[in-house]
Amino acid sequence: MKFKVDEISSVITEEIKHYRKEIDVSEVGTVLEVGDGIARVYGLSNVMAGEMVEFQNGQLGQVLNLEENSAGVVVMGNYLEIREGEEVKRTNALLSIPVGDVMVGRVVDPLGRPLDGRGVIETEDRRPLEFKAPGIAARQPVTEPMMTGLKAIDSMIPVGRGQRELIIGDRKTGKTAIAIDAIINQKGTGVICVYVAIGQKESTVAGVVEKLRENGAMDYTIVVSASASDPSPLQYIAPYAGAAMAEYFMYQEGKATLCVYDDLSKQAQAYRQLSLLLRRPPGREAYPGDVFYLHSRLLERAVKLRDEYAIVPKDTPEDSRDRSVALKHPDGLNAPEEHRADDEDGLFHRPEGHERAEAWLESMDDKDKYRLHYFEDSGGSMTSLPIIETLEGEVSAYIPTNVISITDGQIYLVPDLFFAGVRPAVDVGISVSRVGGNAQRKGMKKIAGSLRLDLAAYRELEAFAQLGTDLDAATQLKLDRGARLVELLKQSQYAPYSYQHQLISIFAGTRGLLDKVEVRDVLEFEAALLKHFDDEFPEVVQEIDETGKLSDDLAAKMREVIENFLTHWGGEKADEAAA
Amino acid sequence: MTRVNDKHVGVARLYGNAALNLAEHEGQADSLIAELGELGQLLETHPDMEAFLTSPLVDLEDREKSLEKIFRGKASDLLVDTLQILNRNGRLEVLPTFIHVVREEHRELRGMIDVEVESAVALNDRLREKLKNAIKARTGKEAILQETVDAGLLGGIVVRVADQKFDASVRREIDEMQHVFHARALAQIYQSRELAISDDA
Repeated sequence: MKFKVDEISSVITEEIKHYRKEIDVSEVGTVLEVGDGIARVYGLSNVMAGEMVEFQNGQLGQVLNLEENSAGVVVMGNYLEIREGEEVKRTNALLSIPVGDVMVGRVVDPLGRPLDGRGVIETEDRRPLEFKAPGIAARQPVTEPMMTGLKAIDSMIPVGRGQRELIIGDRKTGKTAIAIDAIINQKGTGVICVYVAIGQKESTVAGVVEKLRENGAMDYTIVVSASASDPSPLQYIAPYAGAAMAEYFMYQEGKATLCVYDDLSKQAQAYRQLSLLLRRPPGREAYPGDVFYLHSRLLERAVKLRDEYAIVPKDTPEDSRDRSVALKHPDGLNAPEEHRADDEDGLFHRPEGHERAEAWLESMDDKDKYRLHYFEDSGGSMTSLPIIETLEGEVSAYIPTNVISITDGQIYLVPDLFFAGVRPAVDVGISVSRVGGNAQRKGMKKIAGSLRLDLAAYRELEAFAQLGTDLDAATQLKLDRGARLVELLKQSQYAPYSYQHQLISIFAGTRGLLDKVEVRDVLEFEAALLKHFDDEFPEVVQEIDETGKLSDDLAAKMREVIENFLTHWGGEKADEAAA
Repeated sequence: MTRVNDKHVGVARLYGNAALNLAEHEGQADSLIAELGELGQLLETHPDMEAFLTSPLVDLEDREKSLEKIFRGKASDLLVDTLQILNRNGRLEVLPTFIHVVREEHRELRGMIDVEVESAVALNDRLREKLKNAIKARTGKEAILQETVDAGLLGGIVVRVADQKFDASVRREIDEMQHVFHARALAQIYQSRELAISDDA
């Protein structure tokens, strides 16, 4: 280590020089009693709900209850160090946490303090923990895909940017694995990910961080951890902290973000503990009355913000974020419809606005002096993947039903499938995405429909097949097809598929091109096929990636390639068997 | 301050206002406050006394007789009657809070305010005057200083008016400096460690 003592002393000298003597004025109260992470404070007569207060030893607390003569404060730290009669100071600020680019790649606690031993986090930016979700006007519909890299999900339960998709299932069914795969798949897409671990074992979180690091995902991920040993107030605020960190990138930089809350059932339990200790009346399953709001206000923060365009003078810098430079139509909002701006400030919203702005620019006499400007801090998004753990598949328990009703769909994981070796163990029958096909690229949308139907038919017939009766050819075909599709949707962990690869393999499956392949060989064949495409037909792969579509020509070409490969591969297989 | 039980404040205020109004009406308010002050001190120095007065285990009638014996003649009738009323209604447990609240209400009535002053050395009259004037200018009320000397402050003064605390002590300054130095030194160390690591690489 090379740090020099004299360097530090010079810093201290500098500090002393600039130290100004001033009286510290603060509003204080007194701790009446403390226990179980809750302190009751007398005084603080002007304190506001949700305000941050500071105890004598520097620990922070949040005022949750305002009673006639006292305030109920939750302690964000070790409450055992707080003594009765101690002073509590108001801070006149809501609970806020440090945010910014420096947070990326770090493991922090819900108050933004580092847990990874990699030094202090120096950032000036802070954001409030609780932030009101944007309103209707600030949003645009979810249309852009947020690929998880999992064939089963991207094909049938697509998640879009700004969507809230619940991952629900019993313990040990691979919920976290799906979320981690989704994070790993964001590599190179510019999406900032936040993984919030709530009430988990430290060892589990360490394992997740290690996996993310191994796969290079920590370069764009923030991990927020409030482990099982942390006080319940920290577990309660952890998801809000994660959301605040993502919001920085969404609002300030217009970036797409992905937040995983793992898991919200534990957060609800932490909140239940706090509420009961604060003597709030218990309701169903002893959760307090506002446990729905607890999750709805969190998930409502997931959003796809509108894109904003404006006509600006030509010399405006490319990265300008100043909305006041926008040129306003002389007729304001009474302008002809095809040129009309979306608000009084002359801004055009969403992709449609882009076209109107262009049309207006074209129609101008002095159009050389202006240009169309896109505000780069607009159009950000936050996708939420909340996780809920069920007990014995009980989705009608209080918290699961709440979160199911809040989110835009759910990925339902079942232990039976998991133990039958179908991993990810997604039950595609009851998993849905309410945003659905809008958030899917054209090509995938085209072939995914038949995939769903084939699988549904398969499940229906599966039971009959087990009776061992003679089946007609059509039924047998459906069964064979289904078995191969189920096999095809299996995928190992930490191995996300690109869009092109997903499209090729699902195309092969749904068009019946795999019907000749033995069920146990399906995945092997798929891997070889994808390699064949990458090596021999990169132009096909590239076309799929660029257009996202599946034109008839392309489909014909793909069919031809796959059929040829099948004969070739079949021959090899036969040789192998003979040998 | 710690004598106050926030759950008792509501009840104590109800009884307090009644007692104070009556005392004010009979011109005995100031003496009542003085007596309550003494009673408060008594309770503080004799926990057994407090336990006897506030415990719900003591039979109300027995306590009534004892109160008569202990206080009648030695304290004003108004105070003894108040205690008896509290006792009869089973509300004697709020007594410490009651004393605090009545005192507070009385101060309010007289345009005065309790001010806790902590200083490293004892205040002199000139300082007291200055302090009172400053508080008068700020709150518009006459300050009743409750002084304590705490050498631990090292220097300066800490004034507490209601919920407001004005801290101009040397101890706080040193604490704050320690905090700043600690943070800065830590940042510096990490910075140079990172430099050192990148040098090695």
